[in-house]
Amino acid sequence: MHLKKIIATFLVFTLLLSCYACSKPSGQRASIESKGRYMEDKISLPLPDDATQQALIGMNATANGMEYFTMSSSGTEGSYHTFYYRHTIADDGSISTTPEKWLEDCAPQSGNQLSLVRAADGTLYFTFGDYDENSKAQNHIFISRDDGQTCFELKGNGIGVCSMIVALAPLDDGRIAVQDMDGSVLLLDAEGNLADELGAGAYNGGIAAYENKVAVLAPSGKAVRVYDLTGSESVDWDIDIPEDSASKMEFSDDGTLYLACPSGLYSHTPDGTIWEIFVDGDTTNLGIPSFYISYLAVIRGEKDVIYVADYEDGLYRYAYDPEAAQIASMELDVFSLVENDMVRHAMVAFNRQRSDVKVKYTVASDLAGGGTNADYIKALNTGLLAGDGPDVIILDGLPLDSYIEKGVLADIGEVVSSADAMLPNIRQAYEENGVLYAIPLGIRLPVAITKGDVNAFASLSALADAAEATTGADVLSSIAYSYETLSTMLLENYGDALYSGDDVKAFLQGAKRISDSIGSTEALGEGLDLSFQISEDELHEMLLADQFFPQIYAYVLGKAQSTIFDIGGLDDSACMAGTSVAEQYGGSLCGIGGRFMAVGLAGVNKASGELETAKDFLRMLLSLEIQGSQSYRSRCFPVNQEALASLFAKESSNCSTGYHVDDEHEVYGEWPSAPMRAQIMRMIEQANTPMTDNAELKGMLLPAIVSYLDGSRTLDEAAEAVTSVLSTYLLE
Amino acid sequence: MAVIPTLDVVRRSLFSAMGNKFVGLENFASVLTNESFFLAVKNTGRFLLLCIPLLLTLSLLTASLLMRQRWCQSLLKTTYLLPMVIPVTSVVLIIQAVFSKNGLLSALCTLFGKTPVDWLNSEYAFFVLVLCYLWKNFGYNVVLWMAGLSAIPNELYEAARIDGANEWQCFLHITLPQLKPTVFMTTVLALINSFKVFREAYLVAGRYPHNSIYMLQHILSNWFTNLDMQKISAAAVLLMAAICLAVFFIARLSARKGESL
Repeated sequence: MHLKKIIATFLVFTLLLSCYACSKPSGQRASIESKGRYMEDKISLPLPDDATQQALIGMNATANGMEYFTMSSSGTEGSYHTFYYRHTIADDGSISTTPEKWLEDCAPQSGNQLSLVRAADGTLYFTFGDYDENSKAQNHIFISRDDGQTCFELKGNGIGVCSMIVALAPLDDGRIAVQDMDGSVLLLDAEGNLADELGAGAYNGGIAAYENKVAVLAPSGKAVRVYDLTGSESVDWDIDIPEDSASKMEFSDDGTLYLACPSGLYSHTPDGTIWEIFVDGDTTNLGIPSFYISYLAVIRGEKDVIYVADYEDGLYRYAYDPEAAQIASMELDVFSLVENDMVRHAMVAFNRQRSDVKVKYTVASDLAGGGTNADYIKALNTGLLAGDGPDVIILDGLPLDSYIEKGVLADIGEVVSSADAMLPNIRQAYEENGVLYAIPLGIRLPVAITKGDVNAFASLSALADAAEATTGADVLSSIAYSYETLSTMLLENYGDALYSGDDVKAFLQGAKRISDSIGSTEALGEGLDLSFQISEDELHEMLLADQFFPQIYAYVLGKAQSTIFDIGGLDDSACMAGTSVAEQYGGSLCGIGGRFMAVGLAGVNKASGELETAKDFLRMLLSLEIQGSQSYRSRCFPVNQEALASLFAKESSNCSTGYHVDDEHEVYGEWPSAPMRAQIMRMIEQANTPMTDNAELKGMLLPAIVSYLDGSRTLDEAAEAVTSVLSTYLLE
Repeated sequence: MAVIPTLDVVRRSLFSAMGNKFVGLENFASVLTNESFFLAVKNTGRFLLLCIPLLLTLSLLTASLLMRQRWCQSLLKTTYLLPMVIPVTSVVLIIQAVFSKNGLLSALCTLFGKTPVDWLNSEYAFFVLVLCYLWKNFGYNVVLWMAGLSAIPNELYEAARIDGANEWQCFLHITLPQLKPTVFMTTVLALINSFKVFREAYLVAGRYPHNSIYMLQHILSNWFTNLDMQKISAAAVLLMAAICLAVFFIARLSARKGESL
């Protein structure tokens, strides 16, 4: 009896302890007062006179500061000239720029994989690849021992052995370690003759040399392999670098190896056994998927300063800041089903502003395990129910209405009002009785180009009327619209009423009228007469991947009066090609009934332990800084008014796209003209109806709609099938 | 350990989705007026009523026949258990290979001049699921029955035969009464296993399958995806009550049957 009492008391105690542990609010996190950590700064290089852009080809630490070699081209097709410059940033921040004529002599027509590396003794090594008169690839290595006054080219037999040199590292004794496109790591003597074949490395991992050591990323990408040239042995320093990512490495004067990769900046002392991470990739630009690490340089000091450049000439300096919080005292969780580039950029900017906060971004589809979206949503819901959900939720693909109904989301009206001014029409579209629970970070627009009446696209019935009334070319082309692609397009653009269960028969009849009028069939691309020879399967694959091409084809050749597509940026291929088609071949650009697609619908978890910080992060997402720096990867228009105005005021010649239609017709699209931009801007400002994006429901409805279009079901049967799906779905 | 989660489910059934507002029986009313819930209940009920008697009867008859067949009995027993160890994903692949519109069965239809049928997206889907359940659980139930049958003393049959009883009378008056404990256990296990068929249905046709195989687990899973925790809790309480009643009824029935026999 006594024992039973002891056991019972123990069990009750354990239960109470568990309850206490579980009830500890997630917001109360240990506060650590320690200060001092590496912080990131962006460096801007001056653009040389007459240059519209420049590409970085080398970055080296020198006694005078950091030197950057850049290249820019000017001229017209066939008569391009390449200019090279050296920018030196002194310790006091002053920048001096000088032209580098000797590089023009070495590579007047530019080349591939240009790279300029300075050895410890000050010698400059310039390498690049080009093609000889027989179109055979060849490598060049030029050496200048007097800082660019004179130079000579190495002619040793080892240079021709490499497929294409992608990285070069000079050793103290004049030997040169090179890595080629195939990943082979070779050692050349001072004359360029092949001295040794060291092995293989990952081609995008970089190469570094120090005294008699050469370091490359092992082919597996899971270790840095350090070759000791005094013997024949090599040692692997294990490190887990994210797959398919670029990394670069560099030795400092004391032999410490620095490595930059998407997960951060690492260092490894010569006698050490482990890597030390001193900059977290997630809180800096290093972790942004579009960031491609191309150069790394180290300046020695009490605390070394690291410089990293990305492929698109973004330069970043990582220096120790004694005032920054050493360890973030707060963690902010951000969740989304799919990767969102804007969140990544906001994380970096937010970290710069609030070094005490670590933003942890979870992208469900990137998680190991290979679950479905439903699995990820269930896992999220479990967290929300347990009071341990993310602080900021990107709601794309999530049950927004249900979250609003259940009170999961906080009112962010005040946050949006206090953020930089955003498009009022987009805000209004998401307000419910004056309360705002979610706001898109960007939008895409469905648009049409037509030679007919622009009002034909306002509704499904108007489009069906136009399709039936048209004489001559069809409103849309059956080349681009099989039963399935037509149904998909109509569901996307006009399916809202159907999704809510209204007027199923009206939708089906409208779709059937259009399908019959334009002569859709089961096949996609029927009638597409391409001048290049590809198989039917390849054609089908191509058309599914780029459904815009058959529309352009039909429109340009006068087989259709209109095209429908969606745009998400002025440098978006569809936008450039579409606006170009309208100008080249005539036609008006118009919206589809004021509809728009939200990209990155953001909300804040009402139960967040860090509600105010979460709101600050949302403010950051909507700020001009983030909205104005949207990269091509974002594929959406900003919702910030100033960012949008700035984007549309811009002129650019850096982007273009093209379609070869036939021997007589081509479409060459560039940055849209001012009138076209003004028209798109008007459409964005008038967009007021968010489109429903329900891929699952669309997938379930498609077979029933297609079966009516192809005649295998009657209207009543198809309507019943659609209603059956909808009733189960909607009545749940 | 099961009591606390059960009580939490009962509590949640009386509160709003996020568990912060008492709503009384509102969640039960919401569930009981939900047409999709009724469709799921109807399908699940139909499935149970068809499958469980069919499975029990077929497996009992097979077990009775096998008991006489001493030759290769253990090999057959092992063979019958094989479907239990085949991974569900493989089963799903087989189902799709046979029953999809471009599958084996449709190919046979075409061969005989019939139109191919999308078996998994028509009323036939229900019977595909029944077949799948029977195939998977048949052998297991045979083994269970055989265990029960081997526990019956042979002397009872010998005495009955001396008294002039035929095979059917032996089965009715000796086998069935002696199987009383096995009947209860086998039925409850068949009931439990019947709920596992959702895995196949889900993997074959996803969250929204053809209406004929839209089961209770589908709606519960979909409600969870939509964060309708209050509805899931209310439905779980209702389901728990229904299962308790069914088990109680089966227990009483098998006890009464035993007594009357």
